[in-house]
Amino acid sequence: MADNNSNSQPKTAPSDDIIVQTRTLSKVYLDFWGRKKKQALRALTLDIRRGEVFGLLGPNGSGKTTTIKLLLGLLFPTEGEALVFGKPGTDVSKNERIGYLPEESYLYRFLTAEETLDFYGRLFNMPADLRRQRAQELIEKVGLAKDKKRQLKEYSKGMRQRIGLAQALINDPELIILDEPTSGLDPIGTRWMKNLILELKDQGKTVLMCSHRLDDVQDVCDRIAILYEGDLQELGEVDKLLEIQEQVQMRAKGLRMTEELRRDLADVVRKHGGELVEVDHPTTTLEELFLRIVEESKARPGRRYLPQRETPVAAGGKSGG
Amino acid sequence: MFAVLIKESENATLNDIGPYALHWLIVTGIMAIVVLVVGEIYRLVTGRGTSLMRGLTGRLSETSEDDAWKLRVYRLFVALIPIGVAVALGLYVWSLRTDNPEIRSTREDMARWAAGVAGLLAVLAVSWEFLLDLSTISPRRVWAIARVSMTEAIRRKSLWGFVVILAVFLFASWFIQTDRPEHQWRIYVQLVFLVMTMLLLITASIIACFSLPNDIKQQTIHTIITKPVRRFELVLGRILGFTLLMSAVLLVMSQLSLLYVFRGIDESAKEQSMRARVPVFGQLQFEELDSQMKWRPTQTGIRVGREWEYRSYIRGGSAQEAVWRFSRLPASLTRTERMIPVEFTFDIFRTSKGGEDYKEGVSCQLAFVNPNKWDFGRYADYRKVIESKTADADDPHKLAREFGYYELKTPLTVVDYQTYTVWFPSSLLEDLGNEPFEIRVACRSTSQYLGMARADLYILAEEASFYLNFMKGTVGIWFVMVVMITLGVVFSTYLNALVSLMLSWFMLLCGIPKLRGFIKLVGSAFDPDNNPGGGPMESVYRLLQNKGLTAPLEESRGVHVLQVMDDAFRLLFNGLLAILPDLGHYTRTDYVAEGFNIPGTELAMSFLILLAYLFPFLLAAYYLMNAREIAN
Repeated sequence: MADNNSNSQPKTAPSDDIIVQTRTLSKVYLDFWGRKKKQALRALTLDIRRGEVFGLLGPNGSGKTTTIKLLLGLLFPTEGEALVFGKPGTDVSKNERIGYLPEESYLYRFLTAEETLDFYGRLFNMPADLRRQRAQELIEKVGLAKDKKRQLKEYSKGMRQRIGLAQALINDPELIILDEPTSGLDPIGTRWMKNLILELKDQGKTVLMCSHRLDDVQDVCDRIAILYEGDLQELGEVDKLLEIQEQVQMRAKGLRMTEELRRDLADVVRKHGGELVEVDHPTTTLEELFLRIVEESKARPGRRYLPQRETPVAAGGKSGG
Repeated sequence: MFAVLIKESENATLNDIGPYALHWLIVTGIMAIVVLVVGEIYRLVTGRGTSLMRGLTGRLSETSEDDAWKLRVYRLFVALIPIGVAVALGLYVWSLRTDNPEIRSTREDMARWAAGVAGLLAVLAVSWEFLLDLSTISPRRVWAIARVSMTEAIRRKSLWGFVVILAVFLFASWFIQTDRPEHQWRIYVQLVFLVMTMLLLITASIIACFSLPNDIKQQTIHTIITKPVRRFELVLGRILGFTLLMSAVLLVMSQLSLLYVFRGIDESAKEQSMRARVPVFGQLQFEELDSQMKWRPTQTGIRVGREWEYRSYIRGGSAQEAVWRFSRLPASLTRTERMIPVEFTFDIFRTSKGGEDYKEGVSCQLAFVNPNKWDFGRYADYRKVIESKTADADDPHKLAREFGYYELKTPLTVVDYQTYTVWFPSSLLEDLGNEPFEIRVACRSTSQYLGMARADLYILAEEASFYLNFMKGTVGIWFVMVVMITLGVVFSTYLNALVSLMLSWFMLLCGIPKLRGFIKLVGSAFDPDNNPGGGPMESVYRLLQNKGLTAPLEESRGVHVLQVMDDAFRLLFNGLLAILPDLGHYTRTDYVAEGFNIPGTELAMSFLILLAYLFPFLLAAYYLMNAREIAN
C-alpha cells in the first residue's frame, strides 16, 4: 500500500552523509492472480554517499530501473526498504530534494520548453519570479534558448533529453537520479551530458545513474554496482575495480617507435623481473576523434579535417589511450 | 399557449437538507461498513493487507509518536460503529413492539438517527486518512495540473467535436415542424439542450477517461509524481481542469444556442413563450359534497382508464371539486391591492364526442376561497350581490373582503391542454389566519371529465428574468457534466480508458429518471398496484406455475425461499440505486422549455446533492490512486 505520509519514520535511520540506502530490497512482479511472474530484484543492500556519482550497471532486465523506481515510489517493495534522505520511497516530501530524468524524456509534447519548466516549477510550489528565473537559467544551460517557444513534439530526441534534464534540475535538487541519461544521444550530446554530470558533482550534488553503456559509467562514476538478473554482483570504486595489479603502464612523449627502443625497454623490464607485453603507439577513442572533427569543422567551415600526428608511445597494458 | 410542467415528484428544496443528509449518512455508512468488513475478510483470507486497527491502509500505525492521536481517533471511530449499529437495531426492534402508530413512528425516527450516527462514524473511519491528507493538498499544484489539462485538451484538438453544433444550427430548422407557433419554443429549447448535453457529455467523458490512462501509458506521470505531488492532487487537477474547460465551452454554446432559438422562432411565439414564470404550487385534493351538504375529501379523483395515472378526474355536473390549498404564499402577493393571475391547464376526457359540444370545449368554474372568512351557507347572498349588478358586484376587492370568496362571473370554457389565465383579487388573502388559501375547480359540462394534477394550476407570483432562467437551465447540464467528468477520472485511476468510458456511460444512462425508476421498481417489494408479480424469482415461479400476476401464492417453504432470494435481489438493486446518479435531481430543461422559472434554492440543493454523491467516488479515487503501482 502506498505511503504518502511525510511523518512516516524509517525503521533504520541513516547518517546525514548517506543519501540513498537500500536494505535487502526485493521486488517480485506478480500476475493478475497474485502469482509470481518475475523476481526483478533480490535483497539489494547498498548505500550512496553525499557528493558521489554512483552508477548502477547491468544488462537489460537486470533490475537497474526497478531499483530506481522503488527509490522514487513508482513501485512498492515486496520486501526490504528503499530509503532516500532517510524516508521511504513512497514518502512524497523527499521529492522536494530530488531531480529525476527518466530513460525517455517523458514530458508533455504539447507544451513548449518554457511552459514545461514553468509547469514543473509550479509542482514545487515555487513563486512565479523564481520559476521564471530558474527556467531561463536552465534553458540557457541546456542550450535551448533559441527553441524555447517550440512545442516539444517538434524537438529531436537529444533536445528532449536536454529539456528533460532541465526539468530534473528545476528545484536545484541535492540528489539527481538519471535513468540511462545518454541513451539515444549522439556523441556530442553524450559528451555534454557527461560533462554536466561532472559539473553537478563539482557542485556537491549526489548523482545516481543507471546505464548499460559502460564507457559512460567509467567516465563519470565514482562508484558502481553491477547487477545481473536482480542480484548485486559487484560494488565498489570504479578505479579500484578496473585496476590490473599485475601489469604496469608507462607513457612517454617525443619518441618514435623503433626496434631498438623495444629491445631497450624489454631489457629494463626484464632487469626488474617483468616481461614486456606490448609497446606501441596509443590510439585515441572514436569518440575523441569524432568530437575533434566536429570542433575543427565548426572552426573552419568547408575545410576537410587533417589529423595532426601526435606520436606518444605507450608501453605495458593494452589500454594505451 | 401550451405550458404544462409535469411534476411527478417534488424537487428537493433547502428544507430537505436534514432528511437528505440523514439518508446519505445511512446509505454511505452502510457502504463504508461493507468496505471495512470486506477489507478485514480479505486480510484474514489472504494474509495480505493490513489490520483494520492500524488504519485502512496501515499507514496510521507508522505515524510518529506525536501523531499517535490519529491512530487513536481512528480506533475510536471503528470501535463505536458496532455500538451505533446495535443501538439502531435495538430501537428498530423496540418500535415493532408497539401497535400505536405514533409511538412506533417516534421510535423509528430514533432508530434512524442512531443509524445515521453509526453511518457518520463509518464514513469518518473510512475517510479518516483522506481527511488528514487533505491539509497537505496544495491549491497551486492542483491548479498547475488543471492548467496543463486544459492546454492538453485544446492543443490536442479535443474540442473540434463541438463544430457539430454548427450543423444543427444550419440544418435543424429544416426538420422542425410545428402545428402551432407556441410549440416552437419548446421544440427549439429541447433540441438545443439535447444537442448541448450530448456534445458536452461525449467530449467530457472521452477526455476525462483517457487522460490518466494516457499519462500512465506514455509515462508522463513518472515525471509528475516524482515531484512533491500528492497523487490525489493529480486526480483533483484533472477534474478541475476539464470542468473549467467544459464550463467555458458550455457557456459559449449556450449563448449561441439562445441566439439560434431567438432567431428561429416567430414573433408571436417569442411573446408567449420567452418567459420565466414564478409559480406558487398548492396541494391538490379532491372533495365531494355528501348528503349533509359537507365537503368530504376523497382519496383521488376518478380514474378514467388512462394508462398514465398522473392526472385524476372530476365528473362534470356532479358535486365533485378539485381543491388546491396554498399554505405558504409569498408576501409580495398582498403588498398592493391588485388582481393576481392564476394559470391552469386541464386534460379533458369526453364520454360523448362530436357536434358543437366538441368544438366548444368543456365548461368549468373556478372559485377562490379564504376559508377563515367564507361560510358556504352565504353562497346565496354572494350570488344575490353579483346578480344585483350594483357597483359592489363590479368591485372584486369589496366582494372579497365581505365574503372571503370570489368566483368567475361566468364559467370558463376550456379546451384540452390549453393554458388559461384567470385573476382573483389580492384582498382575498387578507386575514387568512392559519388557514390555507383555496382555489376550487368544478366541471359544469355533464358527462365530461376534467383531468388535473397538482402542477396543472398555480398562482403566478411574478415573472423572472428569462435570460437568467435559460442560464439556470444550462446549470442543469453543467451538473451532469461534472458527474460525468468526475466518474470518468475516478474510474480511470484504476481501470483502463475504454472500460472507464463504458462504465461511466453505463452509470449515466442508468441515472436517467425512467431507467432509474425501472431499477427502483425491480428492487421494490410485491405490491399488487405498482409491482405485481413480485421479484425476479417469484415472477419466474408464477410463470412456471401459470399463476396470475396478483394471485396470492401458497404459504410453502419453497415460496418462502424464493421470496428471500428476491429480498437479496432487492438489496442488490437498492445498492445499485445508491451508486447510480439520479439525473432527475440535476436537469431542469422542462422548466425552461415550458417557460417556468427555476428556483435558486432548487439549484443550490442540486449542488449539495452533487457534492454528496461525488464524495464517496473521490474517496475511492484517493485510495485506488495511492494503492496503485504507477510504473507496473
